[in-house]
Formats: sequence, structure tokens, C-alpha cells
Amino acid sequence: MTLVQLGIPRSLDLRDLPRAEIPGLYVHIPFCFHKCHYCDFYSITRQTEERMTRFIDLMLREAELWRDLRVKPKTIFFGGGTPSLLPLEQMRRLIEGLRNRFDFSQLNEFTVEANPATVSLEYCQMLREAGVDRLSFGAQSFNPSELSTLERHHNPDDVPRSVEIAHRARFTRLNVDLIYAIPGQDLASWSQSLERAIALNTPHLSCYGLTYEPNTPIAVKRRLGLLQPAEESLELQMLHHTRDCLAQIGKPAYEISNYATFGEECRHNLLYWNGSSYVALGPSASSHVHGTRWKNRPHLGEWEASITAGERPAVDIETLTPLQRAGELAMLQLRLSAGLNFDAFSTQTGCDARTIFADQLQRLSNLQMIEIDERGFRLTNKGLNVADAVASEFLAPSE
Amino acid sequence: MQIRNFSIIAHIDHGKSTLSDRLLMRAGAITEREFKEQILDDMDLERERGITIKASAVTVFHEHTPAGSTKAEKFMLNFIDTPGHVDFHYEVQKALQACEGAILVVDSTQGVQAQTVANAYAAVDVGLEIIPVINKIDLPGARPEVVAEEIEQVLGFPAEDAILVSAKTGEGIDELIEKLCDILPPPRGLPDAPTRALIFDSIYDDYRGVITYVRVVDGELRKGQKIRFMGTDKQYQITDLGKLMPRPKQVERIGTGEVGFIVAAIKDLHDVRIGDTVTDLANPATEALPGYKPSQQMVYCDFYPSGKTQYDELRDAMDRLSLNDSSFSFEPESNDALGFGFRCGFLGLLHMEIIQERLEREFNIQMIQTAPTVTYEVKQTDGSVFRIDSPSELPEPTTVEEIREPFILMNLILPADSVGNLMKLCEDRRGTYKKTEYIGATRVMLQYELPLAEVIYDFYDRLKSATKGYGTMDFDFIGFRHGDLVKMDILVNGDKVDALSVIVHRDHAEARGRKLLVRLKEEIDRHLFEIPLQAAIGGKIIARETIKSVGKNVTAKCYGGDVTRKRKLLEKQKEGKKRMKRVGSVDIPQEAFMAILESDD
Repeated sequence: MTLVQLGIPRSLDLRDLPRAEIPGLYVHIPFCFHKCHYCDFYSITRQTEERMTRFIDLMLREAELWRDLRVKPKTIFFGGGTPSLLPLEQMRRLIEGLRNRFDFSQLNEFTVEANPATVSLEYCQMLREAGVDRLSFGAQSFNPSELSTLERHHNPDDVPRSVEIAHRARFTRLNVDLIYAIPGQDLASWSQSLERAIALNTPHLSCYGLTYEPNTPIAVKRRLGLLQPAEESLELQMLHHTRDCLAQIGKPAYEISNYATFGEECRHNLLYWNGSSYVALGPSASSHVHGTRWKNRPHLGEWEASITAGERPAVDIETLTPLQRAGELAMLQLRLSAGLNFDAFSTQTGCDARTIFADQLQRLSNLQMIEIDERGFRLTNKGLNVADAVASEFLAPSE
Repeated sequence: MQIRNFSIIAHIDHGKSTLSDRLLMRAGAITEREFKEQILDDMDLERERGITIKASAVTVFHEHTPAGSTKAEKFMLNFIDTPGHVDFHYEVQKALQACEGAILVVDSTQGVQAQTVANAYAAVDVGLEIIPVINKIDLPGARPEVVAEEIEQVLGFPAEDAILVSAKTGEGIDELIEKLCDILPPPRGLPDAPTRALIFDSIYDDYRGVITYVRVVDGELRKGQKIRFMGTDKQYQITDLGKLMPRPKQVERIGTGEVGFIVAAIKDLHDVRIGDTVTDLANPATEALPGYKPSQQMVYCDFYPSGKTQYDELRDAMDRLSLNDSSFSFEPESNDALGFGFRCGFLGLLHMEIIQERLEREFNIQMIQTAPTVTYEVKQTDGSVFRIDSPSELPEPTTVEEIREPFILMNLILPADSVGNLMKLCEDRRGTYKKTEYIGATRVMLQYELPLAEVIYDFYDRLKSATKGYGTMDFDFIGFRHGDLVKMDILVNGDKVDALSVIVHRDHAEARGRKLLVRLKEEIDRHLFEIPLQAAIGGKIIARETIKSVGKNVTAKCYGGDVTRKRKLLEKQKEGKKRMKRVGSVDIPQEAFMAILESDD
């Protein structure tokens, strides 16, 4: 019985972790102008220059605390919050500081999330020069009233302007995020937003069905009956419309909510879905190293206190059993259009998916939820609609 | 010394226990403080529910100058407490047969109620002398004259004979005691005949084994005497004799007409049959006393261990409980959905609730209780007749000639303006109207014959709501009668689920089936596929519903920080499924099996 099973909090001993290289680095910048009403990522809205300066100092100290791990990033992702809210000099200092602390020799993707309302050419040029090669813009919708339902404070025209600026700064790898199934949105309105995003001709698009995360303002409004969520059937219509539309223009879905031209998939996110290892910096950020998962202290103040004290801010440390890892990997890879590859799965987990999941595979293929061939299995269009229910079949019941 | 044996009978909450204690206090047997603590009810549960479960017999002495005499005499007053609820008719009868008289208590604010009538009839049936008493005359709402007239009108006791008392203040108690001594007949027995004593109650004591309460009819009982129980033909030697005064007091003998208890190293409560006759081993009586009808279990339900409780713990607790309540039975049972448990039989619904509460309270048992069903009598084509208490025991329809169900005679006392509602309720429940009688100007006694199965669910609640709480009911089992009864099966995704089968009246089957399916539909989660639900009699489908398949269940975002959260969420859902019963490929939650047995119409 492990300590986790006994419910005893434990600290993270890096010596317990395998020594293999860690290919992912995530950096969480918890600052926003304004908290969007659907967002449940950790962020705070009030900040001073001093606090952000101190934050960068601490972030770089945190990077040092993880030095014993063999972090050799192939991909880096700056998410938030709003990373582009960091003042230019601080952002440059953060990237340079990380470059001095980790080995960037293998780096082949570096993404920063940016707010379309605030990016400037100068900022984009700085990022590009610092080694960033991919930008992700949160457009969400091109309909002003839908944006206001989401409490997004940008103008639809900010998005093409930002894309234009990014191009001028020599960025080619761009993503635009969209949200569908917004209260009040119909299929026509969603089509229009999608068309406008397509017109920007970015190689990558993310289209998310609106999720009512617990304790977000939008979920509270729904509970109080102040807004009417989209009908399930409409949401599914939007999902399939999106997939058809984007497949036709050569940007097929490679994950439930992600679409890209071949080769332009987000490599960093693929690490998540393929069960690879990544280390995350910043408050509330989650790491996964070879079957051990943990989370950084979720609040800025606590995180700052840990780092200041020279302690790693890890909490909720959990080491998965081999079967849990296998189940989790199946859950994640089912999100991918490629699905689960039997050979890769055996190599990674030491388990034969055809054996350990024999019952599930039989039942779910009879129900036409998955299709199985000699390489592996994946969701059908029908299975896609109920992907979570299908995925849960592969998980072991919790202890 | 004169002896008087009597019971106090009343509708629930009309003040029987308080009056008993007041009498004890007046006879000097208990103190004022003890009076306040209601000492006759010795179980917490009884006190909380305001009812008495086990009859106790208490002996007190009183100096009284009989009417027409000038010389005070010593009277031994034995009073035998009776339970006050509809389920315990049999126990009431047992107690009454040990008496010559009864005090009939009626609340002066509430008047004659259903159990007043039932208890009065029971007392008349065994030939008792009855003293009507109108209690609670200290209350502001007391209407003693009106109530006295009701007693005369409904029960035929002259209004002027009723004694007005307040058990709470003590008013009228002296007059009552005088009447007890003057009016009640002395016991008639033969002191020199061979011993015959009637067993009217027994309880189990951890240290002394079974304590048997007896009324000596002929002869006497002595400490050390060798005795025989005539019905069971078991032999014992009396190690101790005693009386409750009200504390146990050892005595050397119990004489003709007296009441007391026997301790005789009897280990199992089931060895003592209530109504049996105790006689002397060496000099036996030739004929036993007329006994009682054995108590009948009419209501059944299942208990299944749940939570931390294991099957063995539940069994041990029920074993222990049956040591001091021989009127409930249990047998191992297993259910597709709920696992291993017990099928339990009870005298009635209240009895069932009491057992359930005692298991939970005294033994810390956690359990699931299924809704109650009744016993059916099945006559097969080969002429054999047997009883079943679960639909699964019903044989193939081709071999069944008829199914009979228990019927009761229901007495309802209601405000006159709710008669219409109650008649409608009784008609809906397949009742047969018998008669209506007016009690005063505003109340009515309504009599119906009803199938017990139609009464055990929520009849009492319906009565209370239809009469704004004023209606009372009492019923008596009158026999098994033919019913057009059928077994209705429930099919989930085409598979018959035995635990969901019910026996229903043919005319009600379709409506009941539809309701069951609607409840099931609420309880069973949507699956990845569509689930047809069907109710069927024999092979014929009489109702159907469909549980639609899951429409949408997909998380839009799943990135680094979401993985653990999402996995835990899905694992938790899966954990929930583990507690369900999988039938075919459908997960049915336990609640569905409970809901099926509830009537919610």
C-alpha cells in the first residue's frame, strides 16, 4: 500500500523519479486584465510592476529547484492567465533565464498564449527573437454579443489585427481558439465565427464546446437560471459541422477539440495526450514525470512562500499504479483521432491493450463506439459524442 | 384477601400509561418522581413513540372498605398492561384473557377512536367487566359529557357510569380504585384442583433466561415445583417465583387467581408458547386452558446489510432480538441487487418499524429495508395449498388454480365531512363497503373490508391527510380470499429481473406497471445504448418505457492540469457503478430496487 493510498501527505523526493529525460516544460503566468466568466484557470487580476518583477525572480528560482530533474524541453508552452500581459522586459528576462537554467538544444516548439486585444508588433518581435515560434490567440467568437456573454474584453477585429502583427513579426505557427455552444448562439452564428477564423488561414485551430466549470461565474449564472445553455443536440451539431468544415479545407481534427494542417499539430499538447513527461512552473500548474503526477501550490501567495523558503511547491503528489497508468493513457489517447496504438501502448506501459481491455473493446465495438483494427482503436463519430463515457470504461475504479 | 385482575385499554395516546402509573402511585407502589418517569414502559423506544410494546403485570395492595360494609379489607390489585397499537391485537387479547375486568380509557378531548372500539369489543369478547373512564378532564378542550354520550352510543355503556379522571392531576383516581374493588368480579378458580396457569407473556433476560408471566387459574405455583407446559410438553423446575410490585419481588407461591412470573432455567424464548397452560408434573390437570390463536405474520420485508454492517452481524443482531420478541421471524434471502440478507415476517407495519429501529439503535446495524409485502395463499391445480411471502415463490401459472390474499375488516372513525374522501380511497383500494354509523353529530364510523396489500403501503398516511389528522383506523384480519392476482415481471433491456417482480391485482396491473417503469426510468442512468423497460404478465407486455442513450458526454478541454481531475471524475463515476447491480449490460442502482416496492400513487 502506497502512502497515497493511505492518504498521508508526502513530499516529493526527486530521487524516487526515473532519470529519463523530460521533454515538456509548461510555464503558468497567472495574471489577467479581467477574469473571463467561463475560465477556471488560476489567475489574479490585480498586479503591480513590482509584483510581476518579483514573480519572474521567483519563477527562475523555481526553475532551479527542479534542476535535478533532467528537463530537456522539446516543447515549451507559456499559458495562463495571460502571458502576454508580462511587461516586455520581464518576458524577455523570463525566457532568457529559463534558457540559462535548462538545456534548450532539443527545443522544436515554443508557444505563448496571447490576448488579441493587447499584442503589439514590438512585443511579438521580441518573442520571436527570444526563440518563441508559435502564438495562440484566444479569439473565442467573432460575435460581439457572444463575447460579452463570455465577458471577453476584446473586439472581434482585434483578432485579424493580431494575426497580421504576428505575421509581420515572422510568426507562421499560429493558433486561434474558438468557443461554441455559447448561450444564445445558433448554428448559423457559429458558422460565421468559424468562417472568419478560417479566413485568417492559421495552420491550427482549437474549437471548444463551452464548459460550465464548477464555481465559475457562468456556471453560477446557469444554476440561477440567468442563462440557458445550448441544447445537447445543437452542441453536437456544431461539433460535427466544425469537423466536417475543417476536414474539407485540409485541417482535420487530430484531437476532440483541435484541428491542424498536417505537421502543424501542437507538439506540446500531444505530450499530454500521449502520457509523456512534463514539468510545470508557476502556481497551480501540474506536472507529470513518468507516472508521478503533482500540482504546484495553487495560490500565488503560497507558491511564492514555498519558493522563497527554497522548497519545491508540489502538492497532491500521486504515483499511479501500472494499471492506472494504462487506463489513464487509454483515456487520453482516445481523445486523439489516431486513437490508441497497440504497439506504442505496449512499449510505454508494458501491458497489452488487447488483453487488459478485452471486455471493453468487445462491448464498445459492438455498440459502434470504437473502431478496432490491427494497429489500434479509436472513437467512431458516434463514440465521439460520448467520449467521456467511453473513456471511463478503461479506468480502474478509484481505491 | 380479595383479588382483582384487570387491564387498561385505550386508543393510542389517550393516557393509558399515565393512568397506570397514577394507580401505582396511589397504591403507594411508586413515588411521585417515579410517576413522572412512567415506569411501566421499560424500553426507551416505547417511551419515545408513546406506545407500549410488551405487556407487564404489576401487583399492588390497597386497603378498601367494600360498598355496604364498614370493615376495611386488603385488596390485591393485579394489573396487566397492554400494547396500544393496531399491530398488537394478539398481545392485547393475551393480556385480556388473564383478567376479569378492564378499564376503558377515552381521552376527553378526542372522544371515541378506532382502537377504543376495537379494544372494547375485544374485552367484551372475552367476557370482561368494563369500567369506562374519561381521562384528561383537566385539559381546556375537555368535553366529558359529549364523550360519555359517544361511549354510550357506540359501545353501549351507560353515560352516567363513566368515571371522570385526570391521570395527570390525580383527580377521580380514588373513585376509580373504589370502583375497581367494588365492580370487578373476583377471580373464579379452584384452589384445590390440579395447577393450571395461563402463560400470557414472556421476556428474555440475559442472566436468568426466559421469564414467563402467568395467571394462575386453578391450584397454585410453588418455588421448587416441577412443572410441565401442556402444549409443548416440556418439563421444568421452578427456580424462582416473583411478582412485579412494580420492582421484581421473590415470592414462595402464587395462589389461585393471582399473577406473577416463573423463572425455570428456560434458555430459548421459543420454548415458551404464549397461551400454553402450566400444570404440575406430578399431579397434572387433565385438560389445558383454552389457549390463544397463535400470532400471525402478515407483513414481510427484506433486510439487507449495508454500509459497514456485514451479513453475519445482521444475523447475530436478529438472533438476539428474536430472543425477546418471538413474534417476528427471519429467513436467509438473497436478491440479485442487494446480495445476501433476510426475509422477515411481522405482525404488522408498526411491528416492522419497531424491529428495524431496534436493530439500528440497539445493535448499530446499518441496513436496507425493502418495502413491505403481504403473505399470499396459493392453491395449485393438484389441490395443495401453501403460503408464499415473495413473488419469486409463485409457481408456474399453469399449475396455479387460484391465489388468495389476506383481507381485513377496517374500522375508520372520521370527521363526517371527510367520509366522501375516505370512501373514494377505500373503493380505489378494492374495498367492500360494510356500514356507516354516526358518532354524535360530527363523526362517523365507517367499515370496509379491504385487501391487506392495499393497506400496508400508505393507507394510514392517506387517512391522516384526508382527515386533517383526525381520522383513526383499526383493523382485524378476517381471512384469505380469492383475488384476481397475477405476477407482473419487469424486463430491463429484455432481461427479466426477478427482484423487480410483484404480485398485483389484474385490474391494477397496467397502471401499476406503468408507474413502476416511470420510477425505474428515473433511477437508472442513461447508458451508451437505448434501454427498453417492459412490464409483462406471463409473456404479454402490458407497459413499456425507454431510457434514451447518452446524448452528449464529452469534455472539451483536457490538458496537463486537467488529466488528474478528469481521471478522478471518471473513476468516481465508475466507483458509483460498482455499487450497482449489472443485469445483462445494464447497471441498476439499489435505489431502483427500493423504488419498485414503493407505492407513490
